[in-house]
Amino acid sequence: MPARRRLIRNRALTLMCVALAFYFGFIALSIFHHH
Amino acid sequence: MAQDLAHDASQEHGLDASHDHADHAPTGIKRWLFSTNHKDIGTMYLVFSLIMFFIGGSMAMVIRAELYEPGLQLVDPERFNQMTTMHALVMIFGAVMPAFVGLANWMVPLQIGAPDMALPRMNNLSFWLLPFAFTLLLGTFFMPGGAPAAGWTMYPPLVLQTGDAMPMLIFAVHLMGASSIMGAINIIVTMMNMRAPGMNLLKMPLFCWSWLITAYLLIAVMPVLAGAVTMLLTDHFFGTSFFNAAGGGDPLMFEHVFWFFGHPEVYIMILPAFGIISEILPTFARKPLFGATSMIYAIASIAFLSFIVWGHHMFVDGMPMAAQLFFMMSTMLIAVPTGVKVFNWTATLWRGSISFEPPMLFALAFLFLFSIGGFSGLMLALVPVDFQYNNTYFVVAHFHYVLVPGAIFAIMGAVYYWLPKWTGHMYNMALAKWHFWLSAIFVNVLFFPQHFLGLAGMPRRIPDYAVQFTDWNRVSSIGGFVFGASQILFVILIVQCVRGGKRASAAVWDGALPTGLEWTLPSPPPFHTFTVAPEIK
Repeated sequence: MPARRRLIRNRALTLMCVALAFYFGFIALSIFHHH
Repeated sequence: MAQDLAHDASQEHGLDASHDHADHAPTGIKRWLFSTNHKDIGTMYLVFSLIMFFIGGSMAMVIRAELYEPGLQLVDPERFNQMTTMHALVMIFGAVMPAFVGLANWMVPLQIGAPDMALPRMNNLSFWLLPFAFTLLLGTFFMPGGAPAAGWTMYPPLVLQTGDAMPMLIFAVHLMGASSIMGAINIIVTMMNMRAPGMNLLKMPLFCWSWLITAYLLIAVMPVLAGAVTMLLTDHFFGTSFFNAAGGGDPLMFEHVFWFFGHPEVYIMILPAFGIISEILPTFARKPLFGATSMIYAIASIAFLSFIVWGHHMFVDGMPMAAQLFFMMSTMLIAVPTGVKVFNWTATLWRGSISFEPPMLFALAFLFLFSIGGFSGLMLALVPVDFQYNNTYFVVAHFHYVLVPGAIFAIMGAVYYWLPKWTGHMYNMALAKWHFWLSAIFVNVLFFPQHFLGLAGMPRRIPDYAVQFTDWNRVSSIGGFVFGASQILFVILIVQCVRGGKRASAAVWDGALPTGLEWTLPSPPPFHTFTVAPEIK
């Protein structure tokens, strides 16, 4: 995979991880709030 | 002729560049279904948004018709609540957001000198999720129990009374969220990786900058909305009690999570509009944007502040005094960067050589009318005052001022600005001016009286009202009908412009001062552009 493509893919995957962190993070926050 | 040559040249470059998708325009349904071309996907977003604008608008017409006089005329209260809920969902997620994403798809690669978006297949998926999401959402109208009716904010416990529509609503919101997140990732990666050599970040046009910041907001908050509705889903179907007090949960919790999403969401709907206005005003004032760098810092400050003001949506819900003070003051703080922006726009006009083409008319109307919405927002930020205004038509007047002559006028201004670039034809100027003046006058007839109704105590989201509210409701409804009807002119104009008309030059606005890479391309630009990166001085 060319370096440029790898960079594009890595940036996209990083941002996707950030989104998932917010998704599960807020559900986790709500669970902690619950207990 | 010159255009054909440019077209051929770019096709040749397309062949030897590292494109692994089709290098010539495919035809028929496949062109649209399997499109990886940013221009085609941008067009699909914009057309989709226009359709949703009319579907959401028709619901607004039902609302205004019912409120034309007191008593129940057209719809029963349940159907009325479905109308307000679906109007909001369709307009926010179906009309305004896809319009901005469509504009970004079309313009970001052209403005930064990129051949396409960084992730073209994901771009296709981002768009094609939307028709499915809205088929699900609008399909709920035909289900037993009808469409969701608990308001677009979906507060529990009320929303848990939604019938069969509930899982459809939640899945639709998930799909819209996934679409937005993928769109945002695409925009960020495109701007970070695909800029032409020499195009450093601070050289990016303001429209790109506003979208870059908006995309970060989207990635941070759309998952929060998805999390909130997922918890509603598990509360409703799987016996959890996140928001159920009987099970030890807390319904207020939903409001906190929802507005942590919801407030950045309202900036997601206005920051790209700020970017558009910052493109249009300098062109037709024939002066560079005043304080361009401070504009970027202002947008970034507004974006940051949007994360710490959510509590102002919940002042009357019961909140410690310290929290009320914090949210009040952080909210008022937003007036500072917003003031910087309005000052800079005004200073751009100062001693400018101004002409009043349709995009400029919409931008100027934005400047005045969005500011009215901003000022009523400041009023609502004040805790003691909000106790009085909360849940009245004053709130409705406020957010419609920032969203209609704010976001939607900016979108229309952008369409009038770039439509000749997209189609290669000039549009009917007289018709555009008719559209502008009818819209600008009647948007005020529609929404300004709602301030009076709210201050006099008329609650929002009701199908019937006390008789003393009749007069201003009639004025508002008449304004709504004319505003709604005048949007048909917009469609006629676009269809005419796509079909033909006077040829547009590459710079389109030759007499004015259009700046940016998009104006160096022929109008319409060839299917593939910047397959060889342009050199930026």
